[in-house]
Amino acid sequence: MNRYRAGVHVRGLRVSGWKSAVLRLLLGLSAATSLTACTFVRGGIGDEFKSDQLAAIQKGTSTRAEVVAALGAPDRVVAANGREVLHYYRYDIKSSSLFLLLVNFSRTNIKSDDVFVFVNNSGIVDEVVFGKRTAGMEFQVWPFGD
Amino acid sequence: MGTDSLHGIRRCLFAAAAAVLATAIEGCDPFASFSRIALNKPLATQDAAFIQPKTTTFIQVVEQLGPPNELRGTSEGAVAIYYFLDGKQTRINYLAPAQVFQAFIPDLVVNVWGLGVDQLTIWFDDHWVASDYGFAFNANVVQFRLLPARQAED
Repeated sequence: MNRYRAGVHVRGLRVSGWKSAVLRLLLGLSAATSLTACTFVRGGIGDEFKSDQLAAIQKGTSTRAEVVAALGAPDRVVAANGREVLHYYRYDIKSSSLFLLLVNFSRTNIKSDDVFVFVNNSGIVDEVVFGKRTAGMEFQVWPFGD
Repeated sequence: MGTDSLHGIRRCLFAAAAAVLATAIEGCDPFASFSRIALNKPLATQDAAFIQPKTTTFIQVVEQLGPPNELRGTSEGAVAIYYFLDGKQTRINYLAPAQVFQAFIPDLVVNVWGLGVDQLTIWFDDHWVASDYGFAFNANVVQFRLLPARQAED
C-alpha cells in the first residue's frame, strides 16, 4: 500500500521535507512576481522650447514684439526692478508603474523648463534666462532612494 | 472517463481558479502599494550656501540653480522662488492576504500620504543682488510609513 507523503515532484524528482517547503515558497514568490503589468504615462503642459526660437532673441536688439513672435504670448508678465519680465514655462511629466500580484510600485517625475525674458522701458530685451530641467528626465518605477 | 481526461479537466479548473484569483487580487487591491511623485530636483541647504547677501547676483544664482519657477516684483526689488516637492504614499491592505482564502473578509487599508512642498525663496534688491534667502522644508513628513501614527521621534 502506498503511503501518502507531502512533497513536490519536479521532472521526476521527488522533493520532500524542508526542501519541499523552500520550493513551494520559491514557486509562490515566482507566481507573485510573474503576474505583472506595467504602465507608462507621459504628459506635459506647454510646448517644448526650441533652440532656434531662443537663438532668435538677442539681448540689446530684440523687441518685445519679436519675442512674442518667436515664443508666443508669455504665460506670465511680471514687473520687477523697472523691467517687464516675460515668463514662459512648460512642464514634462513621466510616470511609470509596476503592478505585481501583491505589491505595486509607481513613480512620477515632473520637471519644468522656464524662460525669463527681461524687457526694459524701451521695449528692448535686456536679458534672457533659460533653463532646461527636463533634459535627461527618465521613467522610473522604483520609488525608494533618490 | 479516463485518467487523462480527469487530469485535463483538473488542469483546466486549476487554471480557471488561478486566473480568477489573479484577477481578483492583482492591480485593483494589492497587499501593498508604494508611490512617489517628485517635482523638480530637491534643493538642500548646501545647494544655496553659495548665495552671499549683498554680493551674489541674480545671474549667478541662475547659473548655479537654473531659472526660478516664479519671479515676483516687490517694493524693494524682486523675489525668485524655486519649487520642489517629494511626495510619498504607502497603501497597505493588511487583510488582503486573508482574502485569498475567504473572499468576504473586509479590507483593512492603511493609506499614508506624505506630501512635502518645499521652496527656496531668494530676495533681490533693485540691482538684482541677493539680499536674503530662505527655505521652507516639509521633508520631515515625507517618509514611507507602514502605520498612520507618527513615530515618537517625530
